[in-house]
Amino acid sequence: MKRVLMISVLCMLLPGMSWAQMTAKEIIQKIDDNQVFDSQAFKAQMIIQKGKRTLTKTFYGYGKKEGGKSFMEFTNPEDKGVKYLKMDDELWIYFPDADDVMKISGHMLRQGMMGSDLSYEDMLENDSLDEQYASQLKEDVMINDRPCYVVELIAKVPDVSYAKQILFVDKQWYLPVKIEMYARGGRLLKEMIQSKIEKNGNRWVAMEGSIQDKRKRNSMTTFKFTEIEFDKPLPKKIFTKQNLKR
Amino acid sequence: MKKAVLVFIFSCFLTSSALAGLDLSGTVRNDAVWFFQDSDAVFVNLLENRLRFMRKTPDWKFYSDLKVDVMYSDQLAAEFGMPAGTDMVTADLLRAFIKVYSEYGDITVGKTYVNFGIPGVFNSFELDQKLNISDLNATKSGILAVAYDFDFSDMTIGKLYVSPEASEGSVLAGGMLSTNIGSFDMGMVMNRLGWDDNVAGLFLQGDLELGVQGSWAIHLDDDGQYQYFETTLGLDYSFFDGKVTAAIQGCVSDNWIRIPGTMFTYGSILVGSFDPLENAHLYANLTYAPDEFIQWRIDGFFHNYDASGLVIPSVQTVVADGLTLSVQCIFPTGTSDSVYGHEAYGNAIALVRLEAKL
Repeated sequence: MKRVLMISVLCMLLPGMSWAQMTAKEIIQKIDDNQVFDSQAFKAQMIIQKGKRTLTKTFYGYGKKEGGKSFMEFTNPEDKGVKYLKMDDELWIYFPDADDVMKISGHMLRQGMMGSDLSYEDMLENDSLDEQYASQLKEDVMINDRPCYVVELIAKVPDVSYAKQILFVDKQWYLPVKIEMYARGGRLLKEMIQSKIEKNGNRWVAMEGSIQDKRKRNSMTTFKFTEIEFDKPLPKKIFTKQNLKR
Repeated sequence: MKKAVLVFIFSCFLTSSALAGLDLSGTVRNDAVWFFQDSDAVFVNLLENRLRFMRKTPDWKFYSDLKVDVMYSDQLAAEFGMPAGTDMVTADLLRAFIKVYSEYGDITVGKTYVNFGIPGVFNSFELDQKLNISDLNATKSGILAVAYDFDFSDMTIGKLYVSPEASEGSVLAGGMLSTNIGSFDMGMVMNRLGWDDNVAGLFLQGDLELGVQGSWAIHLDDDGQYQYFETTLGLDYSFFDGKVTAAIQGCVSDNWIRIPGTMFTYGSILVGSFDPLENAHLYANLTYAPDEFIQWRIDGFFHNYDASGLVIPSVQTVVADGLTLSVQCIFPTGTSDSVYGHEAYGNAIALVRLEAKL
C-alpha cells in the first residue's frame, strides 16, 4: 500500500519536477514549436465591440512561414473582397471597388486592422518569439484553475511591436492563455486572452480569443476560428500581387 | 418607359443571379445635399443603388457593377444650372467583365477599370481623372478593353491593355511594369491616350519613416516631341498608433490646358465648372479615427497660384453594423472668380449621407 502511494505521489510530482526544470527559453521554444507553422489555412470571424455597438467581420486566409507570407480576404458585406497580402514586413491592401492595390506604409502597420484592437502587426505576426525576445521565468500562477508558467519577454531586436510581453503559459498545452503587451515605458498597451483550446494534429490551438487595447475605453475585439488547418500544401500563386486582383 | 427598362434590367440581373449562382452584394446610399448660394438654398436628394454581381471560380471570374441613381431636386436648382425635378433616374454600368486565369497570365475582357500608377487624389497615369470631392474613394466607370495581367515573380507584375474608347478613331493602349525593392513599390508606364497624346513615366511609393509617393510623367506627340510634364508628390504619417493621420499631396504641370482632376462637387449633379488655367494643386488631409465607429476628418484642396481652396470638414459614424451616417460641409475660400470660388461652388455645401452595405 505504501509503495502504491509512493508511486502515485511520484507520478503526480514527476510532471511537476519536469516543469520546474524547464527554463524560460525552453518554454518559449515549446510555444514556438506549437505556434509556428509551415503553412496555415483558416476561416475566422472578428467581432469589434465598443460599448454596446458591435461590428462583425468574416474572412479567410492563408499563411506561410517561409518569407513571412500571409494572405487574407474579407467576406462580410461591408468589406467584401478586401484582400491583404503580407510579404515579410511589407503589406498591401486590395480595394475591390477601386480595383486597386495600395501599399501600407510602415508607420501605418500599427493601426488597428479594420478598426479592431488588433494591429496589422498583431494579425500578421509569424515570427519566432525566441528570435525576437529575451525571456525570463517568473513565479507560476493559476488561471482558470490551471497551472501556468509566467514568462517575461524583453525585446532584443528594435523593430518588434511591443517592448515587453508577459505570457501566461498553460503547463499542459504550452499555449499562452493570456498575454500582456507593454510599451517601452512600461505602460500596458494590450491584453489578449486565448480560449476554447483544441488539439489540432500535434499542436494545441486557441479557437477563440479576445484582445483589448487598454488605451481605448470600452473596446474589445474577439475572434473565432471556424476552420483551421496547418501544414497543408498551398498553391504557389496565393502569395503574389497578381492574386490580389483575382 | 425608362423606368420600365430599368425594372426589366434589374429583373434580368436578379433572375440570372439566382439561376447562375451569382454572388450578389451592394450598397444603398442616400445623400441629402443643400447648396447655399447667396440667400438661396437648393435642395437635392440622391438615392444611389449599387449592385454587384460576381462569380468566382478557380479558373475565372465574372464581375459586374451596376449603379442606378434616383434624384430629386427642387425648382431652385434650375436657376443654378442644375437639373430640377423628381424621379430623375440614371443608370450606369460601371464594370462588367470576365477575367480568365492561366499560368501565363490573366486575360480580362469587357468593361473594366484600367488604372496605372499609385492610387490617390492626384495620379498622372489615371485614365479617368475625375474626382468626386464628397467621396474621394468613389468608384469610377471602367472602359471597354482587353487587358493582360502577368507576373515575373511574386512582386514583379505587369499589365498590357488595348481599348477602342479613344477619340477620333484612335485607340487607347498601354502597359505597366512594377516591382518592389526594399520598402518601395515602383514602376514604369507607357500609355497611348489618343492621337498625338502619349504619356510615359515612373512612379514609386514606400517608406522613409514618412509614407512617400510620387510620380513623374512626360507627354509626347506621335513623333516623340515633348508636349508637357506632370509630377506628383505625396507624404503621409500617422500618430498615436494610427489614430491621427496627416497627408499632403501636390501636383504640378507645365500644361495650361489639361485638367488633372475635373472636380465634381457632388457626383454628377452639382458640377462645379472647374477649368483651372494653371495646373498646380495641393491636397491636404487630417483624420482622427479613435476607433472603427467614428471618424473625424478635414480635407482641403488648394490651388497653388490663386491660393483659393475648398475646405471640407466631415464626420462619419457607424449607426449599426453595415450602416453609416456622415455629415460633410464644403466651404470655398476663394473670391467669386477664383478657381475654388463662390461662383463655382456657392457659399457652402452641406451633405448628410446614410449608407448601408448589403
